[in-house]
Amino acid sequence: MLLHIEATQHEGTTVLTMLGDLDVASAPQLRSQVIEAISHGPVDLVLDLRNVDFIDSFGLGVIISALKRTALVDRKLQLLTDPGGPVSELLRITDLDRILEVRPGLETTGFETTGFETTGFETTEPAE
Amino acid sequence: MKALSKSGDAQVAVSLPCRPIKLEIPASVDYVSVARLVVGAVASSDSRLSESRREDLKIAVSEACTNAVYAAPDDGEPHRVVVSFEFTPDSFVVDVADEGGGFDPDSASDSPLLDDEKFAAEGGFGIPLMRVLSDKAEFETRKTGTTVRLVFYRPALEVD
Repeated sequence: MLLHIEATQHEGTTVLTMLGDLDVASAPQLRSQVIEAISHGPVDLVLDLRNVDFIDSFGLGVIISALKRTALVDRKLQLLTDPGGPVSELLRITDLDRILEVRPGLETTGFETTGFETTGFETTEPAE
Repeated sequence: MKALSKSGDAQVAVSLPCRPIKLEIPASVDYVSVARLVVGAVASSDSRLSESRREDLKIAVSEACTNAVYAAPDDGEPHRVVVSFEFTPDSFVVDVADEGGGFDPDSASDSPLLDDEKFAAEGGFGIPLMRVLSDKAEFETRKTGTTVRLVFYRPALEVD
């Protein structure tokens, strides 16, 4: 299955939402999108992986590179995963969940999303 | 026993235990997903392999095929990766053979997170994943190529 990536910008944050397989064939797509996101200036990155059905070591490699690229410009990387899903499981098996900031949803970032069912993200005010 | 079950968007039915099946794909990353989907679909015929074990199987096969693709000589000639798999009474066994020049599997770190060089290169997870996700991962390497054997045990069904 192909990988579809949707990029949306919020103040100081770029969200990359993925649908499909993040594997050896598609990982370069994500790498390009990460580089593109950072090329316009330092931003926090959110990788929404909740609709990724399959991930392999190349997918993990690009996530690690995204972590390093954001750290180099003193910004944060956050992953959104489906608890118990394939991405969460592989992050747990490889211990990468110890060094990556992994969250089950966007609520804590102040964004609201329903994923690919909508045309994009809607920005909301953080809960008081 | 005849089994029919579903894995992803593919349905297959094979009689178990089945004779060895051989799948040959071009040595290109574009075909790795084909191999994992076919092997995963055949494995789904077996009620003794749980869904989570089938997911482990697909990742491990994918890693083996990816390594095999990258092992192919860069000589301008078309190369192939051969994936063979079969059910034995106790296991599901997958062999992935490449046409590369061989390598030392012991050179792979158990944990790339603890290996600065591998971590910096963003790689090195393939062989550790195969070892962690399978019940047994064996590497037979020769000058004409390497064969990775991945074994997944088929636990006996629990009877209520």
